Amino acid sequence: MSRVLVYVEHDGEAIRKGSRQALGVAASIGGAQVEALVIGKGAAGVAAKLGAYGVTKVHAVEYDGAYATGVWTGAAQSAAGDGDCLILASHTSFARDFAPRLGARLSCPQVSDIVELSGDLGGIEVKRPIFAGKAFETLKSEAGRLIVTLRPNAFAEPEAGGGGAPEINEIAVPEVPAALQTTVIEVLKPDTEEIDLTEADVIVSGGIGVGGPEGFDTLRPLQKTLGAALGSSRAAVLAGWISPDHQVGQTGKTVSPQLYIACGISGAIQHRAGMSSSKCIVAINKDPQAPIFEIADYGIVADLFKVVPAFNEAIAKIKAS
Amino acid sequence: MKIVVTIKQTFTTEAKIAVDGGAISDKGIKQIVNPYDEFAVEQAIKIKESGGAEEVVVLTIGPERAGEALRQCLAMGADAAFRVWDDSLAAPGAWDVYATVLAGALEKMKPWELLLAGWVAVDDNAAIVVQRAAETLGIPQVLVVNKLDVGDGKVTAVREMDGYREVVEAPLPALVTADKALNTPRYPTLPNIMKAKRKPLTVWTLEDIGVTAGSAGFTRTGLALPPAKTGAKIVEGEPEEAAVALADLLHTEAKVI
Amino acid sequence: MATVTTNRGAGFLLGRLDVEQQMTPEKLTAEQRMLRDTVRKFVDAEILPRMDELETLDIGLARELLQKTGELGLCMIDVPEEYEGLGLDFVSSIQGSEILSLGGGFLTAFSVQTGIGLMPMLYFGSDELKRKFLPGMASVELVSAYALTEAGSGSDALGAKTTADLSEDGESWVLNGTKQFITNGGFADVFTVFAQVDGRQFTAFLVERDTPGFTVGPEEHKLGIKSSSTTSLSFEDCRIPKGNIIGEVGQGGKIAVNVLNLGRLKLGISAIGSAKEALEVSVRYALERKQFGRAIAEFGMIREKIAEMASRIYAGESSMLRTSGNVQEAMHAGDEAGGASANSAMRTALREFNVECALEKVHGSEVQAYCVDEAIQIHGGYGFIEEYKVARTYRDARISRIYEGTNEINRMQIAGDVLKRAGKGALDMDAALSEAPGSEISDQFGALCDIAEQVDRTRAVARGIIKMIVEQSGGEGAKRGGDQELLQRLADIIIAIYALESAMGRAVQARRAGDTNADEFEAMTRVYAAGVAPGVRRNARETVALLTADGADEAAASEIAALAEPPAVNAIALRRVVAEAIIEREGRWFDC
Repeated sequence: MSRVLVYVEHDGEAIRKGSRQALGVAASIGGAQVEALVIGKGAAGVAAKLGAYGVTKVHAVEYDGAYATGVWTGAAQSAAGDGDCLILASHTSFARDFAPRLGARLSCPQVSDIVELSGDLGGIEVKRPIFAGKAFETLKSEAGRLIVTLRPNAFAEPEAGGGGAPEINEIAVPEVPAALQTTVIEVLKPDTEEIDLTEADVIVSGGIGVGGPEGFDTLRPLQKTLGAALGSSRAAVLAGWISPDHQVGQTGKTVSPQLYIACGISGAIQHRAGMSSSKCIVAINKDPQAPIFEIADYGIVADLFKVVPAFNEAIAKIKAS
Repeated sequence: MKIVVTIKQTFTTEAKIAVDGGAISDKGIKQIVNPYDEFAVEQAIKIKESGGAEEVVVLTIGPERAGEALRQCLAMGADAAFRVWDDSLAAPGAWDVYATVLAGALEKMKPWELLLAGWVAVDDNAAIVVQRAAETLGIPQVLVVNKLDVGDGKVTAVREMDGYREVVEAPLPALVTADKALNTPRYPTLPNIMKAKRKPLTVWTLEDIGVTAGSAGFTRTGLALPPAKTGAKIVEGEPEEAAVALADLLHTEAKVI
Repeated sequence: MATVTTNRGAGFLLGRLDVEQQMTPEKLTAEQRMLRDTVRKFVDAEILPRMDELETLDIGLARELLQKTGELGLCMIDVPEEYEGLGLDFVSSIQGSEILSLGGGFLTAFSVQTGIGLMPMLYFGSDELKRKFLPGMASVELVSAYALTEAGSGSDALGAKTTADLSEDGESWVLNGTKQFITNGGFADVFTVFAQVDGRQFTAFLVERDTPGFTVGPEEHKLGIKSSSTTSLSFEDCRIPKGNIIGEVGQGGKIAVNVLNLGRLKLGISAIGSAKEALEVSVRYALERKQFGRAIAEFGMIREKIAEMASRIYAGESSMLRTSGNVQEAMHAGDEAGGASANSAMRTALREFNVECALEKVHGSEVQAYCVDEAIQIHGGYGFIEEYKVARTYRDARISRIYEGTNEINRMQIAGDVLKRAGKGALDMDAALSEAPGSEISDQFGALCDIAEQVDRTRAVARGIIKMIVEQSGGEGAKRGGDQELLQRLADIIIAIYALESAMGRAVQARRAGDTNADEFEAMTRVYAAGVAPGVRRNARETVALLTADGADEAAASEIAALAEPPAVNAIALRRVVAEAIIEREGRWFDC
């Protein structure tokens, strides 16, 4: 029976979606003993909820401070222990930061940003995008200890069931030597509370076709109705119409939502690199030649300023019914 | 202060990817310095130009043709370059081995105070190797940085987190990985291209850096191109009618609403 | 048949190519490739985003961007280090010319600055003049222009009416007259001006913009290259210092012709660069554009166009690099000579390759014309709309067949010069003529031995015709120089030989080097060979028909006609192979 350790990220109360997906992957591995690692303020409360995902043991670190590489790496090392273990985490900014260092400490291989996983420790196979999604590689590892980070939204979210209360193993906050200490001086929150693009289920995205910064106002009602995140092409960012935080594509965010609605985006290869793995793609563009239509599932060839308001109304009606 | 920048040679981002004989074909494809690494090189040169460093050195793991990428960094303004290679490193999935090799080379290059790199390579999309090496070397890291100050024995950087940013400090020596808003990389002028020809480029074997490669954690068992899309189903009609029909299709057919 | 190892002008008419000696794009140095990258990045970052402004002829912007090419060091490649240049090789200096072609009319400003605007001073100027002006021209603090054409003298350049007379005190030259169609006229600081001394001694002078009596006319409104400045110039008792003479009195014709040689070669290279862009844009469009439910890139007629464009570009690029390599070697030999003889050796080198330079201009500009035209055709109705880039590319290309000597003048030069050399015995048309074409073709041409034989046969056709003409002209070749139709046909056969042989030599080298593109190079060579053969046949037949009507030996004529028969090939299948390869890589086949 193999041991799977899932790093569970949370905001003090709720478990992040990507982590829930990782818990789902852990549960799908036949006969696995699923353990979890929870770090941060409110860790104990979060730990208690994890039984519902089939977690039998939680390593909890009650910690007040901001994210710190050394703390997370140290805690994960303690939780992993000495034996064979498959360590899973959603490919978030935290995991991106500590997972490679954990790999060095545990002297075990790591693979990142995967979209499929099969097999079990000793014979695990993963699939991951390379060349910005222009190809997929399948990799196999026979290692008994392994770290795997999962692309957010690439895996289904499990139903929370009624498992019993997990065993809690409290871990003391690891000591970090001075030479390795990183200190967060300030947290810069974005002006508005936008939904994070990488985890969004629905993204409404605007390109050069929106015509100017005010063009994004046309997209806002739709974004609100759908509970979507707002994306943009690089061209709109370069034009200064919207902040780079919204950029989807090769040099922006890589996203895989259920629904991606591209409004006035031509679909340059660099943009497609960031969104082509979306489950359903809708393109609204005046230009019938726009390459975006090649990868879209549905398209309307028309002026987005006419389509989007009517589309929004229609969606609102469906949602209401 | 000495700055080491680790770089990787990658395909241009416009390259069309083709699979040939179970491997990604490099036939006719132009290779460049990984774009995120280019931000790191630019930053290092800027720090040197503003008096914050005396020397900028670039390091890569790669076959002979990767020397061209190093030459470009030298033409941008780096002072010296190092390339490590062994044919056993050609197989994909060997991030653990690469980290060991990189740590070995960086150990040999000591003393240096700042290690810079791009936050990810656009080809293998891993973002593993240099962080893993940093752990082995016992230095702290600040990743995905869009603003960087270096001085008083520390780095102060703005790093990208999921949906927000943080201002972070770390003591030197440290690793910082670059994101795209950090700067605009220069393109080398012709006089600097010619000067670069005379700058030292050292090639090391694994023996030179005292590293045994070991076997890779992963082996590649498959490679495939994404399934071709057949093109959009175009919803016809007046814009307003089409919009309503589209909403309906997304609800009943695609079931995403 | 002998292999020509000597690096002589028009030597390709004497014997086979020494393959290994041929310069190819694959032999560019790492520095040259990096230079290409830098120029490409400059075009993408600085020129293309401002194309709309440039097209409205924003002179300030054009000057600013030209100066940026100076900061990058692109205009100092040919200038020796002692005059604050880089003193690099000629092959390096053509890289900028090719890639800046993506910048449309901006290229024209750059070409003048680094070509005809700079070279009179560089190769003929006195040390004093060079010290004063060359550093500024190299760094583009000084923008340069070249003033040869007048209202009444275009192709007949030496018939210019502008005069230069020594002032009474003997201290100045006094210029009077008008020049026309002067590129960079609107913002140049220094002008190379050609004028007649004593009414008949054609001479070059350097005129600074702020000289009293010198005025610049209004901008012309042009069909294409709208972002370049083109004005008239007028001189009214314009006094310039006595020392501002370039070369000597009466040397103007030589200067004009010699600097045009290199200008023509660079123009040919730029034209190929623009043709590459037309190909890439067209293939990408053909992949996106769907008709009858399929991308038009799947249709045979479109694919055949793509194959033909690519093959002509390939042949053009191969021959450009071959000539550039030869010119570079000759210049290097000149440099080695050193000292005062260096410049004269350099000038000899320029003159030596006038046939090749002229043919590159004709061939390059006609490959470009073909490609930009088919690019519009592949775009269909969208090609006719300004919103799509190909419309501008099409307009900008039209001037290539006109300036730096019309293609007609250049064809006269190609055939005329070959006849002149043959008449003088400098090109021995008798030697080796007895050997059968295709004899002793060993495995040196690998899979392309049949193409080597086609080159041999075509070469024999040209030699036979040259011999006939020289004989009819009483051994001098000059008499029939007046038969322009004859010269045109001979020139076209000569171009076909050179371009096809260059395409072949590059493919052979690629195969030997294990280059991954060797298959495609061979296929494109074959497509090109199939494309030129019918033209060679027609030109040969029409030429010998005229010559035999005037008494040439009929047996020799029928031998020539037989040699000109095209080999039987499956051209459609060949083009399909090439199209597949080009489309597979989305048209991004040639590096630029």
